[in-house]
Amino acid sequence: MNAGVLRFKKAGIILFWLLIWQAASTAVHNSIILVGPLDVILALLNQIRLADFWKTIGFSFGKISLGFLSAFAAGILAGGAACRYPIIGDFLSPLMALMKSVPVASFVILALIWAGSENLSVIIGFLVVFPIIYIQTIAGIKSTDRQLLEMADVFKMSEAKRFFYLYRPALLPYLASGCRVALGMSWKSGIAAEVIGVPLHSIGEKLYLSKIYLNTADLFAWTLVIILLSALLESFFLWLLSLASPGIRQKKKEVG
Amino acid sequence: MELVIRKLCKSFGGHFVLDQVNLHLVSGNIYCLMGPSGSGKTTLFHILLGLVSADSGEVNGLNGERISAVFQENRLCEAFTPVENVTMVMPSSGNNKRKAREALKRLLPDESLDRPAVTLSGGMKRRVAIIRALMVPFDMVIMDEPFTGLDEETKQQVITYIKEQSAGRLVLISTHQEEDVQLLNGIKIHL
Repeated sequence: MNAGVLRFKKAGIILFWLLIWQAASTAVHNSIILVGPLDVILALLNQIRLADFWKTIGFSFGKISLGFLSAFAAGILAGGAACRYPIIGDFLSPLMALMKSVPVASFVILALIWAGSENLSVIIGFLVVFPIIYIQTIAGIKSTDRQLLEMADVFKMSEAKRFFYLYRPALLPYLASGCRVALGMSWKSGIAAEVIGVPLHSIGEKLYLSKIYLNTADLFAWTLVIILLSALLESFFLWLLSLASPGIRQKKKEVG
Repeated sequence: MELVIRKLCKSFGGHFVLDQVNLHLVSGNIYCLMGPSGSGKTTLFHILLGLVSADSGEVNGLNGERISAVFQENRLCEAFTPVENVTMVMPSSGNNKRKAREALKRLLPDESLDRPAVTLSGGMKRRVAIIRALMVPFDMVIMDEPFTGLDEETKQQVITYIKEQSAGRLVLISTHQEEDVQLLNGIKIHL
């Protein structure tokens, strides 16, 4: 099946579900319980014209991205340190178990008490993403080919060369798969935190207001915005990671 | 350089792979280590490379000497090109790329030099591994069945290259083929 037919098939499937959605909303005939896709698009178009819409997007996107990026950097550093010095891994182990098992809602309430609502999504994004990246980093480093490491010992390769040529290619697929999970999680938990903490000019606040005013169209419109922003950040970040993959120049040459 | 091995023993799970091995090797010679599969050639090489420790015996003459190697497996970084695979082990210098490219051109077609190693044939990968071993400064080079996967013509080219690049140094090669000893002007030793 060629690409054009595949795209056509995909578009047809999406259109089918949109029609089902529109038919269901028409049948329900209650804009509080279920709005149709046309109402959602209208609500979104109404929002897009407002400066507050872009300010809200900027706020939540910035905070959640900051939480994700800081956790990404910290997770790699901590994972690398834990592989180099196992004692660090031993010390971090209970902390990781705690971060993985404590419900996000508990963290949200604690973060609200300790830091207020302004940076809530940064903190929650960090707490959710950090253990994922930490675990993936350790798994990636441990997957490095042992025979290549012996080769590096025999040829007395420097630490920098070992990282660049041996660890990096082993690590990147693990980081990419970790990022796919972590990015979605950071958005879900970050927005959930904003709904609980209701920081001003956040997407969470807008969702909260939609609930208060029973404005289902706005709720759906903001949900659509969240999905788009999450997909955008994921595509951009995975593209950045792919640039760090070995062989990218060769692939480009082959394509060119 | 003079390498003296005395009463070297190594066993795995109670089975002796090396039992009282004695060797005396001197720079300027190519030694061809002969022996059937499982006779301990690779284990001996791994002991000399410091990857495995011996159970007992002595290895003298390796203090401070630079050892290079062609492993039984190619052990190339498959995502990187032949040029990168060679330069990554060379001591840092401004013209490593040019030197590596010139060396690789002697044994490999031009078009293969900038392709990821994963796309090369088994014989090409073997040649990259051999060139890599000979492009670093060394006093002794160990080659574990370096001619695997090479046709006769390529083997001749590789042997000429090895002899040229290792002149005056100690070369220890494992092989199953008696004719390789003559081609290398080597000294046959048995395990």
